[in-house]
Amino acid sequence: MLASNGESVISLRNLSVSYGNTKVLDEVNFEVQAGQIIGYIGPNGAGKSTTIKAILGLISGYSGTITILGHDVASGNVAYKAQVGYVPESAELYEALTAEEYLNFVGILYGLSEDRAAHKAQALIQLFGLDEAYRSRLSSYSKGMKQKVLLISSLLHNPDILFLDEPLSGLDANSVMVVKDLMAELAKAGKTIFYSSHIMDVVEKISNRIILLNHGTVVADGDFASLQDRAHEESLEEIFGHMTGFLEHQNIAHHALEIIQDH
Amino acid sequence: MREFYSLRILDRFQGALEAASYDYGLLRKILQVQLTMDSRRVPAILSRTRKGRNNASLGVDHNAFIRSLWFYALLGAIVIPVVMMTRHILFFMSSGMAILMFLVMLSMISDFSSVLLDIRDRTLLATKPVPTKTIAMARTLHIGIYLSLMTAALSAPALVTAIIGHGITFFLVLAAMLVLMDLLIMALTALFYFLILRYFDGERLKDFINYVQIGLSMMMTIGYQLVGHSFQLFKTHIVFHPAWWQLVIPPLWFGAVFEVLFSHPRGSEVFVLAALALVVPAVVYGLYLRSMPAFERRLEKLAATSKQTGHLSQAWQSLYSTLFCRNPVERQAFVFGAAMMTRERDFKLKVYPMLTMAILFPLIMMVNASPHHLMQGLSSSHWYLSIYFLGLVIPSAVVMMQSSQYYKAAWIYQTTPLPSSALLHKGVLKACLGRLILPVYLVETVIFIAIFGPGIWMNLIVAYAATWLLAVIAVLAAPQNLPFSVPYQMAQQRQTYLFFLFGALSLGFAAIQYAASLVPFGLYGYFVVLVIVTAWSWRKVFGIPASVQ
Repeated sequence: MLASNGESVISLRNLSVSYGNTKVLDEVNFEVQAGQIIGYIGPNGAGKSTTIKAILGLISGYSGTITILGHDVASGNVAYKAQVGYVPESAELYEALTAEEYLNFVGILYGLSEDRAAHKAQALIQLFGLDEAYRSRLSSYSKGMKQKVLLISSLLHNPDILFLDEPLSGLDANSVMVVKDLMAELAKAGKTIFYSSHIMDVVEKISNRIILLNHGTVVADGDFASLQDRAHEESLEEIFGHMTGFLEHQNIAHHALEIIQDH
Repeated sequence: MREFYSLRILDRFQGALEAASYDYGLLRKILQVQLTMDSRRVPAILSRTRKGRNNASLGVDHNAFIRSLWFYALLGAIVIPVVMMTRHILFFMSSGMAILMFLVMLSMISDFSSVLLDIRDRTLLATKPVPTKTIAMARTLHIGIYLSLMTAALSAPALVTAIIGHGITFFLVLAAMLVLMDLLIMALTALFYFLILRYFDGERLKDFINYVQIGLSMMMTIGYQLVGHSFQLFKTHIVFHPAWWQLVIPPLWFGAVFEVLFSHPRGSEVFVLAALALVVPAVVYGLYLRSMPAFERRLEKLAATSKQTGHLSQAWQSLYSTLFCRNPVERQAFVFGAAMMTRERDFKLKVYPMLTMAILFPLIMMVNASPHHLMQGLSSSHWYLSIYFLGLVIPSAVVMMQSSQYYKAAWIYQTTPLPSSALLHKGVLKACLGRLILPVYLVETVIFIAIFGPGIWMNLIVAYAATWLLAVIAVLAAPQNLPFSVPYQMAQQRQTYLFFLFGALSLGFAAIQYAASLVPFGLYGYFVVLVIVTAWSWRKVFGIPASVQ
């Protein structure tokens, strides 16, 4: 069910979202082709999570068109969600359940058979080193363990598109490496990964395209090299600062020190 | 931040606390912050009324606890007749103290356990250079303030009765006894938790507290039903026989003090008991103060928990769910719903008391209806129809299973391609009928067959079939939300109306069943009709619309 070369798997046209009088997204446009890893970055409150939520149909009041794998999101047909995986920013889970129960339930919601869901969940849990806690309630899990459960739940149904909102938060260094390699493998297998994070080093290394959002509009879109050219900066961190008009971090730090040391 | 009256009273003890090397300024500040946070908390005893919840959700800065004090005062009125008695002072004052002690103890466990076991402030306080001793004292005083307020409210009727009926000395002695009682309760509860935490994990302790809370809600509702019967006690003649086991009954110690001071005590036993009333609280409280810092450290265990579900319960679960559901989506929804309903403490707190009452209420009513020739006339009566009390639980369960402490996790419904939520609703509703209602129904069945004989079996089966129809009506009448997807505060908007609707419906079903049983084979005919109507309505309500298939 993969889109052929050149055809967009994700397409946003004039996407705008308002909460009350505040415009969170203002005329966002971009097309995403299969097999890309897209780093979706921007300052706090720029509208990153809102974009992802709109694409997944979690927000109904938007204007513009969102097309996923050729389906209009607003049409009300939810079948496209079987090809989409999602890791939300905050790890909200039904914590009264065990990981096993939660993953089996999610598998069924994605339309997998019970056996298949159970089998895949158990195998992935083992790979992520959670087998001992598999039958414990999620309420006893640490932040990183919950994050792993979320990642597994977004992959159970072999999705073609992945939306990951801060997927590495809380993970230990080893798991971070596993997840980064896994993303590269998934992209090689033709899957599209839409990835949002605040850790610029990671985004710089794994993305083959970066979209920078500021105040609800796209301010930069391209591969890392083209962004370097445009901003005349070396690292993504500096490019980020340059593009969002934030150049006084050293000044602020200096003032902060003065206040801390004030007697 | 508000200036609290209780803190101004505390200020008078500043010298004493500083002499005991506590940092008073720090102590006061910690208490002030905690009291401010509490003004946004709802006590368990009131959480089932709408007023308490609204304040909590609006974040109104009035301590809901203070506002609920009148409720405790009302509850305390139960001891007025006991305190009024002038004869048999040992017996009646012991009984009075026993009732008060029982009520204070239950509230202590259900409402103040959260204060005693609060570890959220640990990351804030324990990481700063604040001495453990001061933190422990702040905790003690924090509970102490509430406990004395509650005891004052609860014993206000008793105290007023004492001053009118027995004079000022009696009143002062009663007040002193209540203080000793509070010290004893507080120390015992803390030491008991300390003991549990030593051998079990925090999850177990929370479960224990949850069951006490369930017991409390239940006790409130049925307590007054039994008051009528307790008055029969007054007719009997009471003689005090000393025995060794009386030494371990605290209310008796307090009662003995009154006997010594205001009556004509016979025998040295009463003096021993009265002495215990003074010595034991002092000793236990001293022990508590000494072990408080160790208790603080032990609280760490509350954060780390693990509970494994065994393979056996897993196998049993899948077998049981297969019994009710054939469709895999529905079956997983059943497993999901059953797990949530049997594990989430808030759900249990709200629904389990009603389930227990569905068993107890019919029995209480039967006893009230025939107090003298108990059980004799019953077997030929139609009281077994009171099994329809179960019908009252259904709307509450149906509304409550839309809410969860983890309601934010409901995003999962929207990111998955489930075309219709009908199977989800159906599975969770079946879990409610299979895992909550059926066990209660079976217990009731055993009791009723013991009372009325096996001849009523058809009646019981028809009544169970009716719960399935009532359940589907509840789904139609209740607000439409996905399972476990709204916060608890939102859940109970239409509860009262539903409660009365289902009271009338249950009564109606019981009446129809009674009418059917008058006709020969009428019950069988009615059963067939009921099953057909139920099956049809389930299909109608949970049918997947053709457009999304």
